[in-house]
Amino acid sequence: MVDQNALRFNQAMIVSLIGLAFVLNIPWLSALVAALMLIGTAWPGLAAFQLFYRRVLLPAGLLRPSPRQEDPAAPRFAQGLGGSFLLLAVVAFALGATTLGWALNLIVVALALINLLFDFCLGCFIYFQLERAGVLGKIRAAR
Amino acid sequence: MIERLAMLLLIAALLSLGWHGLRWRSLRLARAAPLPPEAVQALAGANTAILYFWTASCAQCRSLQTPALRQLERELHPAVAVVPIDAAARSELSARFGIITVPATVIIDQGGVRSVNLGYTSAAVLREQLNRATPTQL
Repeated sequence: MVDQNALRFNQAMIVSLIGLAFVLNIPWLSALVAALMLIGTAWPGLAAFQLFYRRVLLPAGLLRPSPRQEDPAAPRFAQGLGGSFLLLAVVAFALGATTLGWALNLIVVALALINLLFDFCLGCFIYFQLERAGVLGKIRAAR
Repeated sequence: MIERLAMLLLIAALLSLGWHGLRWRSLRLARAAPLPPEAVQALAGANTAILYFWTASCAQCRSLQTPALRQLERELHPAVAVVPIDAAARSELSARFGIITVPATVIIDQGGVRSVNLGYTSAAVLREQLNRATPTQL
């Protein structure tokens, strides 16, 4: 079971914080979001945005839960992927490749935004394109 | 700071434009494509049909889109028929309808294709589209 509103809140926080980091040129804020996302992927019970949602927003009645039957592995994978992109961005910042660092940040913002606004599942899209190109069939046959 | 804010807004605008462009392209392609035989058959017994493009690997299809369509089918049967199409097995048909991802839904009636949705579409949105397609029969 996955709470769709928790996922949406998570995406909204990622978009807002990385957007803020980019606009105000604060690389450490992007690093902080990367850390929070990767921690949340490795230990879902410690996912900071979800904890805030469950412990503050839900009890205060500001948001209502919207549970749905869904495998939580898919959003966790997406979060891990986003966190990894941001981690690469942190490495790029550390090496002085600022433009590359912000470009990686903006990719994460764009993907979170299309998921948030249009319910577009990037994983589904990639899988479908691979399936259509026959790549997945070849991989399955090789196994 | 202003330049960065403008850049961010531009990215959001381009994403939105790109998304609506893709939907418009899919609608145009779907309107030009001949209907598959199962859709023609479904329209013989129903006023409106929803072509549902799915694949076995699509988690969002199983967890969100299929239950939404089942709910609609229960509510609106026999006026509305759902026609499931395995998009991976019938990739040529999917391409003809401009389907770039799954789940995708196409609303058709006797007049042809009315709407194309790329990605998950809730039962409420589909109901609204069905109402627009054939308001008097639903």
